[in-house]
Amino acid sequence: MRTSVFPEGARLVGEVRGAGDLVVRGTIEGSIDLDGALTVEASGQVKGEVRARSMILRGRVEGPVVVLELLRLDAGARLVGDVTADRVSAAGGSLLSGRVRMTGAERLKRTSGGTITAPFTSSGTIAAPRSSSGTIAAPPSGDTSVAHEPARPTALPRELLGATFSARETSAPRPAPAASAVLSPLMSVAPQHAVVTLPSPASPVAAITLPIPASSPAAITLPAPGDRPPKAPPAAPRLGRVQSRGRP
Amino acid sequence: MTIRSTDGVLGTSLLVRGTISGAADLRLDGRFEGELAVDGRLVVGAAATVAGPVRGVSVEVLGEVLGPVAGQEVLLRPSARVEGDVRALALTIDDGAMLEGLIEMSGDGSAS
Repeated sequence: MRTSVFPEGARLVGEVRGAGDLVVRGTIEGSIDLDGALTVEASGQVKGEVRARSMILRGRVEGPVVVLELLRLDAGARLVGDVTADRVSAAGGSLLSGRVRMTGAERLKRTSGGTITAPFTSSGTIAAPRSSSGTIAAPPSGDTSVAHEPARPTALPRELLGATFSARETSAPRPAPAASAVLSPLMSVAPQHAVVTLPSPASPVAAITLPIPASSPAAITLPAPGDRPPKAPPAAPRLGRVQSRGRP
Repeated sequence: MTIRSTDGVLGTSLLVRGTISGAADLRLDGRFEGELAVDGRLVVGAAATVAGPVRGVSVEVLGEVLGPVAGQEVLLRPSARVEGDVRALALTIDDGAMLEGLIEMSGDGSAS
């Protein structure tokens, strides 16, 4: 299907409806309802309600925006209005003012309510901190709902103790220094987050969302009880001093 | 008369209602209901239907226009069907085009 282009210099007071892709370079005052990809270029302006399957914004939009898939704001984009979209990405230099509701996040919550059927090799038990399993710790850099301190006994709520979780856990059987639970990307809908669901009798569902750095594989380390956070690297040798090896 | 690829196109699957104005070239392939008046070249494609007045510097009609057509240059191609008055400085009507309306060739079509 050919892409429609509303040209620069043109102005529509009215509405656009239909299917197919549309590139707006001019000014549209009115509503757009498009079953397709909508692109508002840097010269484009839309004042009115916008509905589209997906949307790339480089220009200006004033009005409520509903996007079924991805809303992408490039640098220079300016969006004033409430946004409902499955996903929203905004580049630095873009302006977004309004209430944002990402339906993709809701779907992630809903799907995590059931059991995790990711291809894990075995399942373990979350035990009290004094036992061998340890506490789930997050990478120090990520912000997470799980406590960073591995040894804090209050890190896990009471009702979670004894609850089963599905993850490959190697620390319980043998005294490995650190056990790793590999969270497969298959289990998470959003690539940046892995969700571990811990069903328990007290609360129906408790979910822990662990942000995963984009560069690193999705791995969560479960430290053994004796583990301590890695120490800071030794200070660099001071300049102007010769260090001798061998003799004291 | 051809429309450059960088110009405006409103595709067959679009329905546009309202008023389009401004300085731009535009090709319409879908359905338009309202007033279409641009300071540029206008092409009403073979699949297009326009319900309302159409005005441009030059207007080429291959589809259907239900309303008056005005331009300095107006071309009605063989597939054109126009129900409305035509006002132009220069008018071309190809064999096969259907026109039901008054033709006025005295004034400047681009002026309202």
